[in-house]
Amino acid sequence: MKRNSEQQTVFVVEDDEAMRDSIRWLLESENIETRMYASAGDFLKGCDFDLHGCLLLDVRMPEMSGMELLEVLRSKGFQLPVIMITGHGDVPMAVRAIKLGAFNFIQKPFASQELLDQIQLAFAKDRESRQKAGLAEQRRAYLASLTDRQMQVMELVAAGDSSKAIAMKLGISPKTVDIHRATIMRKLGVKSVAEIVQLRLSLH
Amino acid sequence: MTLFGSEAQPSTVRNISPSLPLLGYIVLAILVIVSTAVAFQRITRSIEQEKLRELGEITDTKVGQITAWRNALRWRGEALLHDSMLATEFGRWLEKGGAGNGSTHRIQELLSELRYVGGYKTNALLMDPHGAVRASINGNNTLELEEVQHALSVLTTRTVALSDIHRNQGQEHAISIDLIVPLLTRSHGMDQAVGVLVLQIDPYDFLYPLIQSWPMHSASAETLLVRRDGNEVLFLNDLRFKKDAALALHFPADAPDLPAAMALRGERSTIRAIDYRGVPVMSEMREIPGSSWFLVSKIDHKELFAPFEQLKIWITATGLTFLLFGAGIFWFWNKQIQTRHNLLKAQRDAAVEREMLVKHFESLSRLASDIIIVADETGQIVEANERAVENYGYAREELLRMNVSDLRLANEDPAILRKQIEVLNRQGELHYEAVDRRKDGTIFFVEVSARVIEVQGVRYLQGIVRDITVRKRAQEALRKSEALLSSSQRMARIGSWELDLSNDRLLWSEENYRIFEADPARFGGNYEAFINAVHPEDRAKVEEAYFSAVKNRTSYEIEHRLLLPNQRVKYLREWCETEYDADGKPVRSIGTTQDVTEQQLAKQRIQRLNNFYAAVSKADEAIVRTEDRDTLLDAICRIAVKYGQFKLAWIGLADEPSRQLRIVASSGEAKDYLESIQAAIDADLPEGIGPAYIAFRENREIVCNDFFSTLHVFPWQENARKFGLYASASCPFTLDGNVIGALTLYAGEAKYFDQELSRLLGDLANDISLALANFDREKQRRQAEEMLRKSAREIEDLYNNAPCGYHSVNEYGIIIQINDTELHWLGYSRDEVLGKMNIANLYHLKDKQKFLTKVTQFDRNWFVRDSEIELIRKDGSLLPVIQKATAICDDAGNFVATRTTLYDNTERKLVENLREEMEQIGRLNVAAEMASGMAHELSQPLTACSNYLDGCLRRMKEDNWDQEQIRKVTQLAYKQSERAGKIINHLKGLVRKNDRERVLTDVNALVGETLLFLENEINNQEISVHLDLSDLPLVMVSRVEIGQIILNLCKNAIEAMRDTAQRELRVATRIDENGQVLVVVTDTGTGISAVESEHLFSPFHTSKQEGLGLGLSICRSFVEKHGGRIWVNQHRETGAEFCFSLPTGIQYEEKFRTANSVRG
Repeated sequence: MKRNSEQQTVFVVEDDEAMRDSIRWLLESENIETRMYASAGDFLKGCDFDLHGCLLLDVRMPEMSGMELLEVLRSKGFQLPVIMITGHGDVPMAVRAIKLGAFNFIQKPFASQELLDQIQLAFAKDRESRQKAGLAEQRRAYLASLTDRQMQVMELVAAGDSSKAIAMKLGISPKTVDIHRATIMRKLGVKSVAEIVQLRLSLH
Repeated sequence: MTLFGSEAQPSTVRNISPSLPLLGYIVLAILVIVSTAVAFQRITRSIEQEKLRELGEITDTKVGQITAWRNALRWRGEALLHDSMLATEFGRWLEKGGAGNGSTHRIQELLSELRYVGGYKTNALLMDPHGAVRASINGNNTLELEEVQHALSVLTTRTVALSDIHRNQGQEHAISIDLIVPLLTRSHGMDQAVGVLVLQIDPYDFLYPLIQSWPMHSASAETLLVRRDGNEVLFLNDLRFKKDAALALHFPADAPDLPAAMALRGERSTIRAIDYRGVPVMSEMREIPGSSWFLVSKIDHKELFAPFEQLKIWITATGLTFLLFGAGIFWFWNKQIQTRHNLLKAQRDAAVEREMLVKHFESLSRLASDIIIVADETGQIVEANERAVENYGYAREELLRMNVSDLRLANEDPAILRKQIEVLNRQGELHYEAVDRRKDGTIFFVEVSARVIEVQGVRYLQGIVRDITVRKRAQEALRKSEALLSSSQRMARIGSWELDLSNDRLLWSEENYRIFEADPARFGGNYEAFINAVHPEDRAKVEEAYFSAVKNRTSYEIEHRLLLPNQRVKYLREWCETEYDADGKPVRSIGTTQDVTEQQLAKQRIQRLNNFYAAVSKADEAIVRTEDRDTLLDAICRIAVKYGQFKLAWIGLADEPSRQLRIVASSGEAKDYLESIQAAIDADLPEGIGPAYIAFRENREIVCNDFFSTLHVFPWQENARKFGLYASASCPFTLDGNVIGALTLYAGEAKYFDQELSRLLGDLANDISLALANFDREKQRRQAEEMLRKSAREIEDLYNNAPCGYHSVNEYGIIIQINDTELHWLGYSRDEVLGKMNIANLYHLKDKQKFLTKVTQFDRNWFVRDSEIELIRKDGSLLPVIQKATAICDDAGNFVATRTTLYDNTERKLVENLREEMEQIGRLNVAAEMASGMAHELSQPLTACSNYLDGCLRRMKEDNWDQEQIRKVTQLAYKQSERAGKIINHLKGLVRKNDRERVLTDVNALVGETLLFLENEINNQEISVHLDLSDLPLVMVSRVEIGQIILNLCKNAIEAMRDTAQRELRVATRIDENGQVLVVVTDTGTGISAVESEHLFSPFHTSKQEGLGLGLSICRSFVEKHGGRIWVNQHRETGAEFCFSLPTGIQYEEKFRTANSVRG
């Protein structure tokens, strides 16, 4: 995780060579890792779905357009934030892109700072979604470590039942429930019932 | 009944049957007993099993021991069998004739060694083969016959034998077991019996103790050894409870319960048996192998169950105690219930009895105080009491001779009495009132209770007669006085009432019922019924007033309303006083009710009129003060609500296009009601029947005094109720004799508007009409003034800013008037010129002379026409103009001034320029399209350039930037900016203003180029484009203009397809039948109606919201300029088809020339 997050890369799909070259030049001046693709086909060929960073996609390209590529990527479960580069006045196109799940769009001609800002935002988004995914996995692992009984108790705790009510429902003593509860909290690494509830919600 | 008031209701006495709880208790007890018994049985069985097992084990052990003992004896015998020493010695001794001390002694010695065979005390005897005992240890040589026979039998079998237990006579222990051993000597290889050794073993020594011993402490357990003896069972050992029983005790072998007998029968164990003592025992029996003996172990039941018996006793005792206790409780409880039941029953019986007694006594007392007459079935009097005698004045004897009819009024119809007697006979009893006659002829009213009584089987009629004259009279008087009161109340419209507070009885006089308009039959007759009759809004007030009056002992006086059906309201004034008892408790309120509706209504009416007058006067003030129509109407609504006390006032003005009364002003708390009404003046709408509408339409006042019974307002009744509106009046007002609007007022009460109010409303509407007419006149005047001012301004503006120069000079040539345009042209300010400068000074030298010669000839007919001259500007430059001038003369025909017009020669083609500008607009459209199409192209290099340069700047912030690299990249950036420049140049070329030169053009290529501009729209709207291009000759056209036609048509097509499902743009080119180039643009859009198509190519006709309507008209102008034609095909079902044709080659040239020459 750590190594990858340091190595976030901007993937650029752009048919115009000058644009491609200049974007690389600009991003490298900020020490941002870049990878260039001259067409949507190139990207699909070379693309690996475990990428980190963001995708910079020109809408207007011969053969497969940026919008089509975006649709293909979304259907394949591509997770990176996508910044669309649209031409001037392509607002309906931009709206369509956002609806398709693009992270943002940027209109040509754009100020280089604007591009850099968008890229930083997209990086942050990427990191955040990766962290979320990691956290969810960790919690799932924590949950898996619970015994069946502890799972039952946790469900009831999350549902807001008191120790007494849980004891009644499960036919065990409230003291046992309290012990289970403590174990659950320790195993899940949480400190309050609220966190248990939150955790439950985050996984369903 | 009051006698029984405190008693319990007799009918509630109910006997609770004890059987059910008793049954339950018994069942419970049985359950307890049964379960206990079962438990006991189980325990018993388990103890028995356990003990039996134990007994069996002990028995088996003993059998083993006995068998072992017997075997040991046998082995001992076997050993002696072959002990040749005793046999040899005995043989020799016998051969010697049994004599010789030495030998005898030897024998004795040998025998003595056998004194303890195997450790058991033994008597040994030696017997010769003839059965004579020759020697013994204790010298007793006698043997029982049986023993001898047994011993002799051994001689033949030559085996060791063990005898049974038997009795010996004359010995210390009379009982013994014999081990019989034949004595054999071996000679010549043959065994020869020389005698028999009999070893008499004392069972007391070992066997009996063995049998009698018991491995644990037991009070009754013992073991017996028995054998069969004929038909009897013989006990072989001494018994624990019977001394000297060994070989002495016999029992029949078939004794059924005896364990010993059972053993003989082969049984092994028994739980229930009776032993030799007759005591119940449990027993285990075993046969001892190799013998005729049976071993019987037994133990007394008593001992076995001793501890358990104790427990059983305790449990039983406890159980019984509980059962008894329960039974006791039940008995006690049942007794209590019975006692209570009996008590209640006794009370009830007593009560019934008492009631009967009381009835009896009551009837007795009645009898005593009333006249009682007994007659037979025909009415003949047979008995009369003292009271009868007193009352009728006849002696008793006289009465007894009379018939009942004789007591009735003389002129009464005898049929009445007959009928009464008949009914009485039939029904058994009868009550009636009659008038009776005394002996002295006076009459009195009676009430008769007659019944049939039976005395010893004879039927009599018994009449109890009461003199009710006094009551009758009182009733009559009361009736009369009540009638009087009632009529007087009716006349005074005052009702009276009386409220008995102790039992909440409310009595109303007739007039009171009339005032309340209540039906006496249905009126509740209590306080609540009264308060329900009061107007709901006044109830709280009335209750508060009445109860505080009662509490404070003041008189109650109040005015309140009644709400009668149909929202009718009545006003009442009530007054009452309350009586109190000695404790100060209010007893009764007596009061009067007066109907004061008329006074109230009159008062209200005056109030309403006053209010309305105030409103009208305030409205008039407003009319005088206000200068604006809307403000006035607003003020009138406010005034009507504020001073006229209306709930709502609004003014509607006719709104011609929508045929509705538009609400222009409104005021009042119920303003929201207006949201629901639409006083349309279109009678077709349901709203068109509203009162305001009718007032407006028919130009008359409409008063709607009760909303809820008027059809006009039906659609709004619901809402009106919500806002508390009950009546309305609408009044139209006019302008120039035409109705233009209506004022509508709403009141919160029905029947609000009377004639007077309506008249005032009419006055108010009149005033409004006048005010509106005034406003209108004022407005027209102001408009006229404004127009005048405006035209003056326009004339001045025209004069000053017209695209030509104006000036006037006087007879001396001095400029006396000049317009701004000319000043602007010349560069002078007005002050420098006006009244100071001679016009001649402005002329160019060459023109000056011409002017001077002319100006001297100024006269009436002086004029200059279209003289082309040059003027000198202030800065010295020349201005070529065309001058026209005329003379202005006074009435006398004397020259006053010139009126000179100058045209700027450089802008002579003004009219053509206008047209050119129109074309320019079209061209700019093309430019905009192209610009948008180019934007993408342009943004590319610009963005790249900016990225390059920003990258450079960012790197150059660092210290060690690579110069060479930066230089290279800057070069790249430079290239991109050049690329952008090229694109812009290209764009410029396209929109260059004077780019209208006609060149040989390929229309197909032009179509392709034009569509490129629309690429964006085509992609965005997902339009499919079909090109159907035929080979075409080159045509001589303006690329820009023809390009724009194509662009316009395609753009229209794309826009027409914005909302259609199918989006297909088709562009076709071909040569038509006239040899002209034909371009057809087809779409699948919304199409064009026939009406539309007529104006399609006129300027400013547009179907688009943002369009100018110039596109197609410009197209037509362009096409026609090229000698072509543009039209639309209407025959298509969906979409539109636009075509234009362009002439080719010579045809075109000719046409063009013709067109030009015609124009020129």
